[in-house]
Amino acid sequence: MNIFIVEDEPIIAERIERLSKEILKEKITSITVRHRLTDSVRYLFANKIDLLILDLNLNGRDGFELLKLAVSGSFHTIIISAHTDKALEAFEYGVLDFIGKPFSGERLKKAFERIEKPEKSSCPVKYVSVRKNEKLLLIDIDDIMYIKGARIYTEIVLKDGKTEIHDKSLNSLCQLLPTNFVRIHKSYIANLQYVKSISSLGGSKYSLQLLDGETLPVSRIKYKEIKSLLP
Amino acid sequence: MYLDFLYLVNTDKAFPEKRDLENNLEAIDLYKLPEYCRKNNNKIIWLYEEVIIEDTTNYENVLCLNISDVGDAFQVYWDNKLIGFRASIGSTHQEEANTYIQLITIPYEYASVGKHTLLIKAYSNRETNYTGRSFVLAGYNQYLNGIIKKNYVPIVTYSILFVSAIFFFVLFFGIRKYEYLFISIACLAFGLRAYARDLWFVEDFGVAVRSGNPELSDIMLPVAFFSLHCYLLSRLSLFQKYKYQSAFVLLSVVSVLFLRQFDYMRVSIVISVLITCFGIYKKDYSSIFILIGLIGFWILSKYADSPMEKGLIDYPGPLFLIVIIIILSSMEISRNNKKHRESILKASRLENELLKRNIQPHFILNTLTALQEVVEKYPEKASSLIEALADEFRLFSKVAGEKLINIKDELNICDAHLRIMEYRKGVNFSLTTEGITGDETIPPGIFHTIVENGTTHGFSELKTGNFLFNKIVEANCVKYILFNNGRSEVENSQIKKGTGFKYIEARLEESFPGKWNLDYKPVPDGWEVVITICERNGSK
Repeated sequence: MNIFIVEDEPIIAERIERLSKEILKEKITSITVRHRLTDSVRYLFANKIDLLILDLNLNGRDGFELLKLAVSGSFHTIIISAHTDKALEAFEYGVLDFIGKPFSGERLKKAFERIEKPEKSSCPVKYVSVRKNEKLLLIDIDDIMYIKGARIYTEIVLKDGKTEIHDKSLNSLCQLLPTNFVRIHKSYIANLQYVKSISSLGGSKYSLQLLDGETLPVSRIKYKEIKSLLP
Repeated sequence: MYLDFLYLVNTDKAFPEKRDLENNLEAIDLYKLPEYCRKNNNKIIWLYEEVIIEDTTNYENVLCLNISDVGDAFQVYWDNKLIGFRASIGSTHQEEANTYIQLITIPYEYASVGKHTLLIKAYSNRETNYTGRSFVLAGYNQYLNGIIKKNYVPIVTYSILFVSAIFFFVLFFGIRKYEYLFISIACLAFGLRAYARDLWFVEDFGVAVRSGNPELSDIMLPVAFFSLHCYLLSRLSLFQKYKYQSAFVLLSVVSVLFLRQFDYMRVSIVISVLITCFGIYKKDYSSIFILIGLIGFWILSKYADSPMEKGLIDYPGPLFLIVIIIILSSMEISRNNKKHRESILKASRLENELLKRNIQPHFILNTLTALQEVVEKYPEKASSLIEALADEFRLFSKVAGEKLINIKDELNICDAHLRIMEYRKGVNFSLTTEGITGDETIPPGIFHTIVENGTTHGFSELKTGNFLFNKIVEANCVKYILFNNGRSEVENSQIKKGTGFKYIEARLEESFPGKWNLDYKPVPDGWEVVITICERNGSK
């Protein structure tokens, strides 16, 4: 696991680094620390990381700029900040966890555990951030009809028919999305708001009809669960 | 005929021949008349009138005759019968004492229904010009009511004006604004004018005679208007400017010297209106109230030339204006009161702000996080970090309630803050001063805010942080140049908009209103904040 720590105070960065090493031990491949925003952005573009640990207030600059960029990436983001009043907003952009300062090793451990657990966040995301042509695009999750997994990235299909590519895997996104987004298939997450009906095609094959007429495959093991969720 | 007030004015034409009248008269003892009068027959004045009484039921009380200003001595004949006289002309007050008679009762049996004749023979040994010769025939109660009616308007007027004068005088002592002194004098002058005109009692004949004091009354008019103009000018802060002052004094002198009383009053009201309109033009909207008062004054004084209303001319006009000025002043005082309360509130808000700066999350929580790491990793250093934190808190709570503190205390706070930031930032901070003795006073938290801004923004790449505070005294100004070698990532304009600089500005404005200047700019090798505090108004 490649961990990237962005924290402007050396001693706190040192603490995060030390505690991470203590908790994750040999799971860690590398840990990189940056103190300045500009350096961090450069690093994010140039390197492949698995986890970003970010302080929201960097030398007086607003860490949300970096956050919006970070959440569009394939990796998960954990915020460690003194500004706990910003927690809800951070969750809306799709961070995995928000740790208030000061913090203990125990608290950090819990955050790390969430990376591996597929359970949904209690503070759901409101926007999905997509990097497109060097620009950031914020998508309101209510506009998402369904998400299709495509190897390491995902295709987000919007209600107006457009498709956006997201760097996060289907698994990572599923952790962040609210409960009306349901994993219907190993390659599909559907927004129940846009589902018209579910039907059996016979021979253990099932499909989901969306409001715009599109059909999505439903896996056999998910059929009952999804049927119970629909009205 | 219902006899209420019957005014009889002396007109020679209406008189019958003197000789005829004397022949018809009842034999009277002229011995009672002074020798002097008998000798100077040409000073005898005759007043004659025919009176018809149609109904006596209205006169349950005694019918009486009020004679004023007919002469020094007189005899009154009713149907050619002598019913009363005043017969005393002396050269001194003592000689004439207790002989002054103004009211003569008509015997009940004489006041029957029908036609009667009234004849007054009056003597005068003075050169006084008796223009208002008159007598009034009325029931005694009606006569008394008439006196009360005639008196209560001026009594009410001058009471209100005198009380207002005291009110504004007290305000002047309380608030120390000259406008209140001027309006107090104006009230007094208008009040004295009312009093002098109709209620000035003189001991002319041993008893009180209401004669008025026209000289005093006339002097009071320009005094009143002069003060009113001073009030109007000074409430618009124009009185301090010499060009307005001299133009106004010149205008006042010219109008007093060359204008008749009523014209003077009109010109003065016009001047007042002009001053007030200038105030409205200058966006002083409370002047609208005064304009209404002046228009009221003008309208109520419109009848000033009419002799019948002579007694009333000045009363309702100034009264209306003064009442409006009292309302306006009360509004202004309550507004000032509110302002004062707000300034107290602002001071406590600033104190609150200062304390909040010290316990804001990004400071205290980050420090605690750093402390956590120090405790776990470098426990031997923990104690001194805790001490530095405690020092900063202690010093802060000591100065938080103050408006101005010694720079020495402020520097101690900065020092404690830098010791904490050394741990957090891993930078060696130092603070040196030049030209600062430590006794100078500044609002609390100003240098600290600058140090705090410097440490949070500028030192992420550096190993040493130098703060240099320099004091330079210029002609009327003291300049504090606060330099640090940090390299901020943050835009200059963003820092200026930040709460830290807002706090510094609010504190400087509170302690040195309009006399300070704050500048923040990058210089070679770092950043510089320049605070200038001047004795005179600085360029803000």
